[in-house]
Amino acid sequence: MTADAASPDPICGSDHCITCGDDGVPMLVVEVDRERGLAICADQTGALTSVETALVEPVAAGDELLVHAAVAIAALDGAEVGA
Amino acid sequence: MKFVDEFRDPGLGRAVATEIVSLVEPGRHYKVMEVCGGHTHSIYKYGVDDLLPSNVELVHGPGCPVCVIPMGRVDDGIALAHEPGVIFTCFGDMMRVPGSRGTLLDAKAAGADVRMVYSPLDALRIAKQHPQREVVFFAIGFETTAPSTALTLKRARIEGVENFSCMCSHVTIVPPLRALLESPDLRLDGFIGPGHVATVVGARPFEFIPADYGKPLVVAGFEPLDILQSIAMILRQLVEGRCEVENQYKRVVPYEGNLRALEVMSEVFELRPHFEWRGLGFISHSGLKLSAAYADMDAELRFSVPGVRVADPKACQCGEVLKGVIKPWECKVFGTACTPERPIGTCMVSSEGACAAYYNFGRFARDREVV
Repeated sequence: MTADAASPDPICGSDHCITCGDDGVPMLVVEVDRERGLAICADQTGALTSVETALVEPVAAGDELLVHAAVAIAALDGAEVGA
Repeated sequence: MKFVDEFRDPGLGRAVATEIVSLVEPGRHYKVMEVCGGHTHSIYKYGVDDLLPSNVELVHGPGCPVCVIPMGRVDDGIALAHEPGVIFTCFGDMMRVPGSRGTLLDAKAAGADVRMVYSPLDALRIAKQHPQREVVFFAIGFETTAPSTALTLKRARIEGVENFSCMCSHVTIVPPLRALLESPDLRLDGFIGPGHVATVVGARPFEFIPADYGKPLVVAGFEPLDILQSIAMILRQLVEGRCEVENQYKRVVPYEGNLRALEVMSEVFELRPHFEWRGLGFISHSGLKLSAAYADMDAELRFSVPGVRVADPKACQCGEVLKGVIKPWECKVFGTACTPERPIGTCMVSSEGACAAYYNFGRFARDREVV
């Protein structure tokens, strides 16, 4: 499921609803709004979403984030973070 | 796209499947539970189970947050949706979960203002757009989703949005796993751990599973290769006589979790003494409610809710499915009275539910033929 930042009523895709499962979507940061703690991010299809970035600050344009329900829960920098 | 394409490579998938075949002991039957509904969905979407030897069985756990919401809780949500002046917001699949007298979608058809949102932030935006209305967000989900609700409530407080409240039905993953492991009718060889819950809570909270119950757990990602590799890692532990928590999803999951997320959750939520799970009954300390500091934004305190417990439909065997005791097609109403279009039980509602995954990806016919 993707949500356009301009759309107030995004809809679930036919085969999956990311908010219902333990799901995460890799997204690319396009623009950062530091004042509001949000970032405009693009998913694989290019659809734009406003994403809360408080849990992964600092972020910059070009960063890749793992997003769940419009909140970035992890930064994807290619490095292994686990033990 | 990075982190996606390389984990769907068919050649690598076949190589890991070959490794899995080399790790299994002929004559032994292996049962591995994927805890998370997202894994169930990926397994059937990509046909992961078709690459496994016949003696490696995947059992589907209770990790779909829609599937575990009991009927009485749905009735409470519907009652709130019918309150005068209320805009009731929830995630998409929640609208189709049956309560004792219909769904939230039925309530919407009957005139209640029920709106689907993609995130709690969307619900907050609706509240700001309609300051004369009361906007309630029906919060569901495991620890992956709970930080999103917590951050939204904090944002509402900071921005002074007073017409926003939350009906909190968030649940935690460890207590139901412990309850399952205590169940005498469950025999498992290992667990595929929930990757995105672990992104928030870390891998450490799962250490009790090998320590107390002698079962290996591998935290796994959601691409087909992630799941295959995690199964190979579980089997390798069994072959080598090891029993521990391993992290297959190291590119995302820090062993200690996301400390900022844990901090905001501890500020906004506190554990309920007990919470009812569909099919599993009451489980201690398995649900979250708003903390005293955020009690003024608790919809269950702001409005009157029935709070009546409703027994699951007798024909429905979601409980046995959630415990992995039966396969979805073994339920008496699977695919007949209970379908994704007209679900009786919640496992048939969400695409992450085991029954819906079986039904939507054609496992109905194949498994019937096997029987």
